[in-house]
Order: sequence, then C-alpha cells, then structure tokens
Amino acid sequence: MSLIVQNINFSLKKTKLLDDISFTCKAGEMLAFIGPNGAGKTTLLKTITNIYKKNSGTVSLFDEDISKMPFEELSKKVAYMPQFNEVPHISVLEVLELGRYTYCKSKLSDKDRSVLDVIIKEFTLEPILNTNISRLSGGQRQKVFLASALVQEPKLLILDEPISHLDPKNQLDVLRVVKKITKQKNIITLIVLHDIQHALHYSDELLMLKNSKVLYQLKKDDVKEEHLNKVFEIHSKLFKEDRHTFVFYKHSHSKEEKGLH
Amino acid sequence: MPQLLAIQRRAKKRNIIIFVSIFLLLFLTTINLLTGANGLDFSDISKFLNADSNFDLIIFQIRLPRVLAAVLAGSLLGLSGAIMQGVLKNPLASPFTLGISGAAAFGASFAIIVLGAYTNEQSINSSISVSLSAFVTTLICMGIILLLGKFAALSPSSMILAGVGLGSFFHALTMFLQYFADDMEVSATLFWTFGELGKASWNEITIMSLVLIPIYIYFLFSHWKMDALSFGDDSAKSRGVNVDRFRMISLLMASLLSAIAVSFLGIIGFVGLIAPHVIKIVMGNSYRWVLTLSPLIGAILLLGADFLSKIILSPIILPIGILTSFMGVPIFLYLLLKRSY
Repeated sequence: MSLIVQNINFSLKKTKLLDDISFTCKAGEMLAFIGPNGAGKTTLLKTITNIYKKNSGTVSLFDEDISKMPFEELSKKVAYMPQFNEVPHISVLEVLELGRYTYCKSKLSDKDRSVLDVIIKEFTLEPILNTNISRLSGGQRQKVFLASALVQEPKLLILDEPISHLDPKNQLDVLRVVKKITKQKNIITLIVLHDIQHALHYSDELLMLKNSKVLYQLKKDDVKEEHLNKVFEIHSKLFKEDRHTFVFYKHSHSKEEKGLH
Repeated sequence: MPQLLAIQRRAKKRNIIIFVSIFLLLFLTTINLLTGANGLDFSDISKFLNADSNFDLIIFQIRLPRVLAAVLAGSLLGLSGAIMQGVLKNPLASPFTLGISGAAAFGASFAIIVLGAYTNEQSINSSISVSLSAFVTTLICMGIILLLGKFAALSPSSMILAGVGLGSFFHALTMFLQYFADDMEVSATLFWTFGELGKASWNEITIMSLVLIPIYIYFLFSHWKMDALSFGDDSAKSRGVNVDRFRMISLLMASLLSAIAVSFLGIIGFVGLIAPHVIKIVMGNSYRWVLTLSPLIGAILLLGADFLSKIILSPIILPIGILTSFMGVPIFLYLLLKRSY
C-alpha cells in the first residue's frame, strides 16, 4: 500500500473529532471520502496534511513517515486544495508559479518553468495566464486551483469538495481531469465528494465516515444500499446500467406534508 | 513556452512602472535639494556648480539629510504597510493600525514630561532619549500584540482590533500625563507628534538605512509566502509556508520598520497605508511587486509632501505629518473610488 493511515485520533477542546481512523490507498487510485456533514472528512484531511496536529497516529506515504514532517518538506509530497480558497486579485500565472516556490524558494528555474508549461498545456490555461483569477468563473477558478496544486508535483493529492460550486459540466470536467492525472502520474488522490453517484463513478474506493469514525472502506463495486443507508440515514436505491451506477433517494414525508398532497 | 508571452507582458508593465517611479524619485530629490525655506530657487544650481562653501553647507548639512530622511522614512513606512496588509490580510492595515502612533506618542510624552527631556537642561541628549523612549513603547505595544497573537492564537482581524484597543489605551495614558504637565511640556509633546523630517541627522539616516536594507532583502526573497497567505492559511501551509512563524517574523520586522521611522521623525500618517495601494492598483495584488515597489512609492509620496510643505506657506516649513494626512485623505478616497479590483 502506498498510503497507510493508522489510528489517527484528534480532539479539540475535549471534543473528539477523529476517533481511531485507519485506511489505506494504492498508487494510481482515487479514494473518495463520503459522509454526512460534520462526520470529520475535512478534519481528517487537515490532520493528514499536518495543518491540525493529531493527538496520535501515523501517516506513511510510499514508506516514508510524513506525520510530523514540516510544511516546507511536506509540500513537495502532498498538495492540498482546501474546501474554501480565498481569492486574491492576482493573475493565473502568478497563482501557478506559487506552487513551485517550495522547490526554488525565490526565483523559478528552467525546470520549474517546464513543469508549469506541461500543466498549462494540460489545462489549456494559456489564453488566461494574465487574467486576474478573481475575474474567472467558478469552474475556471477551480481548474486553476487544481492546476496550481499539481504544479507542486505531489505524490498525494488531496481535494476537499473541489466541485461543490460547479455546474454539472464543470463538475464532470474537473473529475475527469483528476482521474486521468491520478492514473497517468500514478499518484494517490483523496477527494471529498457529496455526490455519491460521482464518487461511485470516478473513484476506485470509498471511505465512509460518520460521527468521527470510519464506518466502511469499500471498493466501489462493493458498495450496497445498506452501506449508504447506514452512513447517511436515508433510504437509497442503487441501479446499475452500462457500467454506471445510479443512486435514487426515497423521499419520506412528514404527517403535515402528507396532508398537503 | 506558453508562459513566455505572459511573462513578457508582465515584465514590460513592470519596467515602465519602475522607470517612471525612479524618474519621479530623482526629479523630486532634485527639486527638494533646490527648495529651501524661501521656496524653489533655480539659481541654487549655479551656486552649487560654483562650489559656494556656504551653500554647500546648506546642501550637505540641511537639505540632503532632509531629502534622505524623506526617502528612507517613506521606504520604511511603505514597506511596513505592505507587510502589514499582507500578513494581516486587511487592506486597511498600516503601521498605525496596530496602535503604533499612540504608543510612540506616549513614549515621547513620557520622556518629555516624566524624564524631563527638552525642558530639563541637564539632559543634553534630549532628542535621543525621546526617540529611544518612543521606540521602546512602540516595541512594547507590538510585543503585546505579537504575544497575544502567538499564545492566545488571535486571528489577523482580532490582532488589528487588539491594536486599535492598545492604541486607545496609550492615547489615554498620554492624555493622563499631559493633564499633569506644564504648558511647555504639553506643547513639546504636541510638537513631537507632528512628523518632522528636519529632526533627522546623519546618525538617524545611517540607522534607518541599516534597518531598512536587510529587511527589504529578506522580503525580496519571501514575497511568495505573502502571496501564498492571500489564499488563506491552510492553502499557504500546503504550499510549504510555516504560516505562524512567517506571520510573527513579518509583523516583528514591520513593527521595527515603523518604530524606527516614528521614533526618529514623529508621526507621519497615511504613507504606509497608501503606498501599497498605489502598487496594487497599477500592478495588481501580487506581493512580489507590492513588497518590492511600496518602499519606492513611499519615498516618492514623502518627497512630494516635503516639497509641498516647503512651498505652501513659504518661508514657514509645515511639519510633514500634517501634509501627508492632508494629501493622504483625498488620494486615499480617490484610490478607493477608482479601484476596480
């Protein structure tokens, strides 16, 4: 296993936010984190990236313990795209360049520029390089943030709800790119998704969290209705057709609502 | 290379701005060297060329130190403002947002009223003791805010509020001292608070340069950390910035920059606030340019204000602090209305 997370515990002001979390992931695979709001998905990502100091537990990435690595070193191995990015008024090229300073510290070398070139071509960002990022649409902005995370050449890419503000087409575009890059560069991608259908289609495995604990880690084909029902406390139905899995939710009505029908 | 065109366009714009700024700096330096209490006098050029010894004395002992003081104080305040706006992520942050002016005024008042500087004939180095006292109280004020930031984990906006609170506290302490002081002491403290470039001698100029240069070089190399911070702390950490340490170091350096300027020259408002905004409007918000060029803009603003202070009510030279606030408010409002970002 290329990523081994073992027994992570994290508490804040005596409230346990992560309770003995363990999971693994292989290189070239995408692991989707799903679970209700407040389950601990974002907290888990922040402890893996050392933004939160965990109380106990280890994170091993390609046989290297990264659980206490300083940010300067960690940023060469792990790129993290937070759920909410503040949007400053700087150009797209300047945003991309930021991902390389961890390697060069003050002035970008030819190698840094060539890494940027590959990503710029891959994401077709050339026409907007001098555009202020605050003027871009939500979809374009997410692509730039994703591109700037990849510029760090990470072995582990961590994305916290990267598509939550995007329209359906942009959602699919971003997920396709993430999946392609994960396979192509043989990296590990951890991604928080609220759309179970997307998680079942694009990821290789799903990690289901609830109440600060891991309930299940399952291959996507092994996910059953009862798993989703237990995690989200809903009544779901899964339909498989032509390699696609569709998720339907059964709506329950309160007595008052029933009276209206 | 796909980036080439974008880099070239950026470099062209940057070079034009640097060229215009340096031209303005040199032009205003020359104008200020030719301007004395009696206003602008072009016959000074011939006096200078004919090596008039009296005139040389005026240039080298009075006007040149004054011009250099304007350049250095403008740079110190401009850089300090740029750093504070960057690490506190607040466009209204400036050297005085964190209570520095209030603390400095209290330090000066303490030296003048309690220690008897200026009015006490025993005290030969009165201006040094006033500067030192202002410097120490400024650092105490900043120290409290930095310690609160570190140990109480204050957010940048809470740090600004703490600064506003401390500024008011020091202001109240100053008024308390003034209430029990005699007229001479009160007027001396009031006069000190008017920023005045004439207070600087070659010693002060040397110290200001020695503080400015290493800090400027540090930020030339760590501008990217400031840009990374503008995406939020988590994002900056994931890009390899030790956010807490960088924020503390930056605030410490910014405090040192403004403390030096204020304790030597008195309170010179608005330069630290406006200089970074000028760059943000013409070059965008990338801190690579904001940090590199704010000192230059600060110097230009202060040289311009100094020129006006000498000619508006000639032969009276107005304290520069009054001019920067007069100039600062309309420029600031103009920038706010014009800003399209």
